[in-house]
Amino acid sequence: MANTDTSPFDAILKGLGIGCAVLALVLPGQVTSRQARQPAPPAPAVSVEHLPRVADFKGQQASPEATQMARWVMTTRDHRGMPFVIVDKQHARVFVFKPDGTLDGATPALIGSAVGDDSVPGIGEREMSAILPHERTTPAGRFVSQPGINSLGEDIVWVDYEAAVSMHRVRAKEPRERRLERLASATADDNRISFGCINLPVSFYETVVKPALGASRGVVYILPETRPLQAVFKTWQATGTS
Amino acid sequence: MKFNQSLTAAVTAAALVAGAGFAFAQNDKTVTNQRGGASAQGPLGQNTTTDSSTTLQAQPSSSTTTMQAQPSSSTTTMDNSAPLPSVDNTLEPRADRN
Repeated sequence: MANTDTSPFDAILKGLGIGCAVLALVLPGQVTSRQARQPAPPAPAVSVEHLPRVADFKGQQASPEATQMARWVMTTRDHRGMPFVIVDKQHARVFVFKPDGTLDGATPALIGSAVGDDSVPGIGEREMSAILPHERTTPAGRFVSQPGINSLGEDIVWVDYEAAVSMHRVRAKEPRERRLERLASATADDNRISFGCINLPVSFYETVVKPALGASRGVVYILPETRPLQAVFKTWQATGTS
Repeated sequence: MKFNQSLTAAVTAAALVAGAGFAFAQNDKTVTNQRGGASAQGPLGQNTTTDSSTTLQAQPSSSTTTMQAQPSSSTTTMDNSAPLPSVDNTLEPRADRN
């Protein structure tokens, strides 16, 4: 039985209901989603003015190129007070530094199986099966890293998102590749196996990379292997080494 | 009856206006990253030029290192004058190159 004798209070409620319903349909993307997308608070900024101008490898062996690079980063404060990583492709080693230039950790790594310092345009959009052997390079350069998630839901550190290059825990999903054995071997000659990503020992990723770069940005310097450092990092000039 | 209908319409309109105003206010609070702005974020994994004027100056090192920052003549060089970026959570999950 319909009651047509509605009171003003009912009319107000009805008006509010209609208004809220319309707003709920029109505004969810404007209110709730935007709030959820607010960027996470940036990592505590480190005052670069008080940082030392030298890098401390803490006795770890490093190539002259890696040593030069770390010194240059600290001398010029190119890392902008962020943690930074040096990837030495020729020796298949990764060095993670704290913002103050002290070594946080160093480890062997697996890198792209192809020799080269560039990424093929559009490679990040391709299926793995469509990446040819000679295209499996780890690109050289300076990259601002960012923590992220891959398509499998694994937390990783993006180095070059467009080219789909990341640092992640080594994955031993394909026994024929022998990734764990390659990583554990004493030689760097067998560490060229990935499609471009930088594979790290699980314990190193968990204890060094994730705390340093898993929640905030950093700078990743990937040293070239087919051209001089100056050809890739043109804003510095080495006039000698100490 | 007519009065109630008018009242309903008025309240509906008021609710819509209030909601739109709230949404507008929220939009104003949203971070908008603009090139060279105080909250600008550099593009991920790319070396880009910037119009920021807050360039870090390399100073003489106390060590024996002799490397020096040099102005670049190339447009594809690394940039150490970009503002300190913060994490942007808008990256979509995607396949990496393993």
